[in-house]
Amino acid sequence: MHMPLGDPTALDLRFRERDFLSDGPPVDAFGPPAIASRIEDDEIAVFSAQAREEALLLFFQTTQFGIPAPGPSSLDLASWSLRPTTFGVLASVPAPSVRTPSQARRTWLVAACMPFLWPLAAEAAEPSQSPPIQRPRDETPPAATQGESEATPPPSPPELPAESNPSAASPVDPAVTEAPPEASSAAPKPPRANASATKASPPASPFDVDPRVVDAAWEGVVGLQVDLQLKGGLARQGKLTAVQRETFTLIESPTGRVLVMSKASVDSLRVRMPPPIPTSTGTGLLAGGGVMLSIATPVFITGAVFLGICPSCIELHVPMLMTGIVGLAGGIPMLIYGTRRRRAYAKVVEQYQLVPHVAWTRNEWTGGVRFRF
Amino acid sequence: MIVVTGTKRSGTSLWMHLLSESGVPCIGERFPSGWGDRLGVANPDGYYESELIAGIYHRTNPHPLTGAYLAPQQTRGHAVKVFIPGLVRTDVAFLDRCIATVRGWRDYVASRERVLALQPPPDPTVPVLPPVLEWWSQNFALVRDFAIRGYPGHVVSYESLVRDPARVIADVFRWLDHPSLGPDPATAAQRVAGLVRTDPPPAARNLESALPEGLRPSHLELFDALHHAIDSEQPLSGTLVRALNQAETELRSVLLEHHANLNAHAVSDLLGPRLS
Repeated sequence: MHMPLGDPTALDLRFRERDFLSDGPPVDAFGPPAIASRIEDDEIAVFSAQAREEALLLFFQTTQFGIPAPGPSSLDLASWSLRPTTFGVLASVPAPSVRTPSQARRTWLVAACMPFLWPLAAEAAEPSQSPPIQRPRDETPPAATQGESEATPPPSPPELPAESNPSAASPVDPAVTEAPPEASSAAPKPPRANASATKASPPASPFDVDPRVVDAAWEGVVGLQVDLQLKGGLARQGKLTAVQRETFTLIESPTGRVLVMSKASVDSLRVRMPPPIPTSTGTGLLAGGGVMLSIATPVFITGAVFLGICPSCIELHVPMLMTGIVGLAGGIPMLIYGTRRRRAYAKVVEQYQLVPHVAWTRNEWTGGVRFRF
Repeated sequence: MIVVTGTKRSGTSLWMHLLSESGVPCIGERFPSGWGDRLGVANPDGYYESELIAGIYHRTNPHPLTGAYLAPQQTRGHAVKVFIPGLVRTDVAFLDRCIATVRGWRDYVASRERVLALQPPPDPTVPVLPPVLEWWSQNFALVRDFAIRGYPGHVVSYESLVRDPARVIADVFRWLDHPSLGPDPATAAQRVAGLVRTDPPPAARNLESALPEGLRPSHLELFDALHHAIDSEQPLSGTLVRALNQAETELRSVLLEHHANLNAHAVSDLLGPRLS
């Protein structure tokens, strides 16, 4: 501890130099504990019933680098720049159902957590050529044949993203309009290569964006309710009604204002997700109710006729009436509930066509479309 | 590295601005993207923040995504801003010089509330540590870390920097002994001293009237004594150090409870609305 010469019990905080302790280091304090610690067999967390019925979203940030090439390395300061977007693997663990029992859900969770258990295996693995998610599809050639794949040299480590370039690390003023997504169209497109050209050309950077993907993503959200996250922390909600080259038109909710906004001002664009598709379509109820009504109605009418003709013939009309009433009492509600479920199912399916997502990262647009079945 | 540290709103960005303007290479962007225009009002000269504000240690270096590595011998002359929780995590090999700024707790509370008012309203379900307890926990950790690990460091009050910038900056520049500051650091200090601007005085408010749970008026007097010792450039007496340790013992349960609530909220947010 650094002490001033005047008062040996005081702690000086000014212009301190490195302390060189004369005593030996207290290595004994870091030895094994006298009594081995025991992991208590307590519950760590318990899912409530409601949580068990919901899908879980897991996100794992993955490393994107391999063993560096031997040789002198430059001082890379840009890697530590703050970045608004994180890449990784997103896994959705479905809620347990008849088809996916809770056992499968546990298996999902365990499998998803496996990388945490063997981090060294992940670090030593070859860097993948195509990141798992949040990347637009690039124009990579179709998969090579077995023989070609053996002849192809192993992929080199991926190029660092542009933010790793020190020249790109200049301060960015969020108030200044950034390059519009069309700027990516100026970049040379990766050549559509055949098998031999694949060997000669470096692998396409995972951050290359085909402008057609961006345009398609924008076109794909026209007419849908969207949530916009704008630069500067502002947010807008509404219906995206038209897309122009550098702008788009939004009818804001709930004010109804028509806004023409620049695409470059958008940090993230997300379409409102429709509710989950109901597991029941109502078909069974409709069919069952129809069958019951088709049988019970004539039986009930026949029983009523017999009651009018021969009130004393109890052995005839009472069983018919009872059967008819029971059939009607069961069939009518089945038809009502079946119709409601059918309508709800059709309404959700109507919304469940595709869910696009586009977002502006520091250097490019990323987009994707997810189909649900 | 030259590590500039302190709580938020204590002048860390100001020191980074002074060092940057003096030619010292800095790690961090002056205006990181995503901060928006509103926070620019609070720090018009920029923030100079990087992903290393959480410390320079195994989780941040090598970089967790790219693998880029900052070696201690490569970065001895680089300045970087690290908040106090990150300072205590930072490997001592990177602490070649550490400039720590401490601001009076009243001004700190007022300034934090002013910045929070500029931001979107927070989620009311997220536990928030009262700013005065944040001030205490971080500055206590700073003094404790200085005392335990013994790396080269200098603690200065924000008020003294604003009061007499030329002298304070010249003293620090001489101590830094950095080649970018030239043979006469006082000249470099004189050149940048004019960049020190005084924040508008915080709104007068009786902060003692609504103390957070667990905090007593005697604690506030101790906070004042700690700041007074730093502001008057006096060492912390043995009596004051014992009183600080006693206060830490008394307030530890409040801070632990806050951290537990924060962790529980994070787990609940991750796994579902209700965990039992």
